[in-house]
Amino acid sequence: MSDARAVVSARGLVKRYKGMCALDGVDLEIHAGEIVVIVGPSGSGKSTLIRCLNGLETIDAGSIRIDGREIPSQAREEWRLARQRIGMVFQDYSLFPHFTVLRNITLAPIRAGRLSPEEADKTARRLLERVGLGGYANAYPAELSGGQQQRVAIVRALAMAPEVMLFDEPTSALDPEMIREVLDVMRQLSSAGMTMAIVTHEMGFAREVADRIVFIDRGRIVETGAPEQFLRSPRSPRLQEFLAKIL
Amino acid sequence: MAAPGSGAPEFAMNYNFSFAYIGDSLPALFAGLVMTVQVSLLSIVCAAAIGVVGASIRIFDVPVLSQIVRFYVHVIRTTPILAQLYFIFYGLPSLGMTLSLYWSGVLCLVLWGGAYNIENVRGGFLAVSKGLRMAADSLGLERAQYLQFVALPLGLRVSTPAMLNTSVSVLKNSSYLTTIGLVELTFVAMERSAMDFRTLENFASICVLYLALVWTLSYFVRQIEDHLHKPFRDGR
Repeated sequence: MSDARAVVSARGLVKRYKGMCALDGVDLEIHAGEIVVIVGPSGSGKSTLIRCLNGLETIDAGSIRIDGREIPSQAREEWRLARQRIGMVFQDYSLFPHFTVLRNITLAPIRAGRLSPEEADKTARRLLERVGLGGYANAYPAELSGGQQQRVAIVRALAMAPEVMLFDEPTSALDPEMIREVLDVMRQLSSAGMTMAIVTHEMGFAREVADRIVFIDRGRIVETGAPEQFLRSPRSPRLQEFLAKIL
Repeated sequence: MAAPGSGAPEFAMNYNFSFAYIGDSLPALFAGLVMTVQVSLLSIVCAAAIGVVGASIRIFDVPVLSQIVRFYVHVIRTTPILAQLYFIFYGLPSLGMTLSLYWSGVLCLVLWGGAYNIENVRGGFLAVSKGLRMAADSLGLERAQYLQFVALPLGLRVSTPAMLNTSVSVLKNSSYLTTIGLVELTFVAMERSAMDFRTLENFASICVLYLALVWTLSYFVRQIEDHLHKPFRDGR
């Protein structure tokens, strides 16, 4: 398979934690404009996988290519620059608590020399408006609800104008009524053609937006397929079992 | 245990505490106070800087330097400060490094306070959640930027109380410098006691002065703390 259009591609990823194998030979490609949803039981390696994709975790074997170029784990500076083009959203939002919403969003683009402070300010306000948080530029994270914080976190990542967005269980820490507002923002991104890899338990959402769903268990990709086929007629018993539990 | 003979213990209560003597001592005490403040302040500031630099080296696990910092902190924390002071003042000249009284004293206090501050600041850095480090990494921020914008402002909030403690200790430890002959507060009290036998007046005076210094120092650190905590308050 040609890598030409793969924004992120992983080959034979192995990640060990103190003898335990978190990832055991994972291959995954994310193509431009594609939305890949990663599901699996807790401890299956989903979060580890997504953190390996932007070099937040070092890998023990295998390779990761960004835009077709392999970046080794120890090439820290290269990874740092690559991450400026890969947005990431975490389960716990991870906003900087001592900065206002605006400063959270503008810090990276300004420091990376991407935008002037004025441009960054404008971009941030425009993006905040788009996710329905126009009035919150000067609020501190602690003053916002979880759903609002997560939307700010998405905007923070978007402000770097990334080529691809990684989501690590973006709604798992949220109350049910706030899950929708975050998923709505992600739907917006999907219709805008954003390339995304999403770890989530929201199967309804996955069915709706995913081009491909990947089921990972015990550090291996067990099954992968288009949403309909994946959810309607899972082949492997492990996936059948998993779906039976969560649907 | 009763005193022999009589039933009740006897205390000599006829000491004549002289405020006039303290009045006469004021110029000498003041000179000592100035020296104590000077040495302590310089040492406290430098020790804080060492704390930040050392803790940063440790937190980023900079090869070689990190090991050196660890060793340094270990040595300072496991040896008495008086031994360290004598090593610097009497030992280093044998190695061809002769420092003046003043700078020997400052060096000793800075090394001592710096070691403790490294641990204080490191504790603060460790209290900054791993998630924020990852968030900074995911945004492509440099290490130095993470340090400047995230770890320092958040970590120092956590470590200021411990650093205040260390700073107070540095201030009080400055009285050890009396043993190498630096004319600071304690030295003045010792010297005047030896001359006039007014031990009570002299040491009572310097204790009051040390107390006042510690209070002042605590007050300023609290101001800094308040300032650091501002953004966490209800914003706007």
